[in-house]
Amino acid sequence: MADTNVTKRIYDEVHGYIGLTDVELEVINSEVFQRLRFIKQLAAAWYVYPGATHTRFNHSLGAMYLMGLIAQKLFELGYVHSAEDIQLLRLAALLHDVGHTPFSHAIESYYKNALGLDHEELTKIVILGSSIRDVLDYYGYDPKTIVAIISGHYREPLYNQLLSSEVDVDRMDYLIRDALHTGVTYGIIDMQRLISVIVVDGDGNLSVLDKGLDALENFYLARLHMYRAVYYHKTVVGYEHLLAKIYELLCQYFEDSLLPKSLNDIKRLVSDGDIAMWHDDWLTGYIIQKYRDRSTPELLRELIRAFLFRKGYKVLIDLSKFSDKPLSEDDGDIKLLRSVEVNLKSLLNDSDVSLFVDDIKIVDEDPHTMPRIIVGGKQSMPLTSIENTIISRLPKRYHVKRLYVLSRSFDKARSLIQVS
Amino acid sequence: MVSASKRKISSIIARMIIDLGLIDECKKDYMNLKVIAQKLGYLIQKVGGLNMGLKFVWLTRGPYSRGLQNYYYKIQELVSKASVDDSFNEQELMAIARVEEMLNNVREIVGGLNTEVLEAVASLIMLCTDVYPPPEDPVNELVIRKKMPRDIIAKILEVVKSYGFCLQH
Repeated sequence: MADTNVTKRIYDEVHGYIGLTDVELEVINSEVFQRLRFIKQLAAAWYVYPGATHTRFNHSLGAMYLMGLIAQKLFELGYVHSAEDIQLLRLAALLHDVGHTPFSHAIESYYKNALGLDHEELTKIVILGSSIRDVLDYYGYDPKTIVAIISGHYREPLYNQLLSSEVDVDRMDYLIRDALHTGVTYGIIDMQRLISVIVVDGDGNLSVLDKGLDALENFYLARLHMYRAVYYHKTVVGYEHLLAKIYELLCQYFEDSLLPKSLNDIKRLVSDGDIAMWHDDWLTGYIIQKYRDRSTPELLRELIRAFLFRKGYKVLIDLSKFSDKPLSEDDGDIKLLRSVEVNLKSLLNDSDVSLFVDDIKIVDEDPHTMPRIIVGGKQSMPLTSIENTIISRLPKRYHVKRLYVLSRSFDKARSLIQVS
Repeated sequence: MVSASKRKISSIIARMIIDLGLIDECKKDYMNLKVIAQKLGYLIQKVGGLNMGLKFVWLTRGPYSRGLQNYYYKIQELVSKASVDDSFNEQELMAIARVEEMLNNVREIVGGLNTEVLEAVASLIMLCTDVYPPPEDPVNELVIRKKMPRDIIAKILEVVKSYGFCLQH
């Protein structure tokens, strides 16, 4: 962003001073955006990494900053069409997480399962239904264009890729920020180098010059480490899983405008402006209140107690492993875990035992999304067809297969499975 | 739109690949199978009206759903056996038939059906219905992006129009 357009600067712990334009400042100052100050980027990861208390607010600013750097570079190369488009792209990056639920992905699963809504859908509802729309309209930026870029429906595919692809500004910022705050140093990427080698190939795909392969390899390795050490850390997943169960029960037992249960409830929450309070701190206060209330169903109180006093789920059996294939519906490990789960549930409290399964993509070999490498300044090739890179030797997937048991029943569960 | 089980995605797409005679195209290159799977996945929802819960974004190679990635391996298995054991209900069969009919019409009018043509069909429909802002001339947009001959894309446009898409162009 040209310095002349900057009306204010804000200090960011990763990128240093970030300049803000009028429209960006007004968006940031809206109550709906300020909400992101109270939503932690890594949900409950601070139970494992005490420093991981950074928020979606910081990350959104960081993503906007990186978008500005890359868009400016691509504008100079002729791939971003105008200075106005740079602003649109920065706004899209700034707003890409504005629809996150309290505790981010931990609670999002409730809305995915119950209503088929993910945070991208919620983001669309928030941008088009809140005061943010008025701010964008006032400054002459089409809110639908910004929603289109965020949701990947914008007419220029390159703009969609900048915000959502294998090497996008979202990932670049969260990897480096999460590594910094967790202290997981092998998650750090060479961001400056990566940005300097990003170009566009003849088909309009975001690409990387071959001289930047080392930086790209580092990016993939960092991501792999962060998946294992942070995002899918056994304890982190256990507490997020616990939060999801607590939230589900809260929705089952209680009525509150901040516990939306339908699409209409969510739209009302947005239009009323109450969404500004729908964040981690509200939810934490709410569950403390319910915990103190003796009339709250005992099962819910027990789960809240487990969350508040760090007596959550512990891994009883972990069969996670790398693979080159997608996780099969007939996976033998999962069958085994399911049978243990059924047995334990018959002997312990049902909610004390929980199976967690996920199939994480590490290397994307899809022709639609695989990063392209510009070889010798001319030819564009898919990353995995480059022989001299370790990325093609990395496992393609990480299958997470774990059986969790609540701390209070853990010893009993362990002795039961040893007997059987 | 009728909802369908996600479990059926692999079978439905594999069945269409087999019926449409695209097996060799898939065997030629695993990348082709991925592109074909994506485009058929898009068409079965859009043209067939079968909601399989797939969300598509707009990329240089046309519609793409991250969720479909998990089914490539299974689709490849089914295609290599050249048979799909799964049974389909009436709505699924109707959706498959409608997509296949449209693609057979495209094949007839352009003289063949391969990965590129399929990509053009799905991309044209997405440009007309899901992309923002919608282009004034989707044919021209595709000619520039796909580097395909204009007359081929114009012929495809006529077919997709007869199925209720891109009527304003």
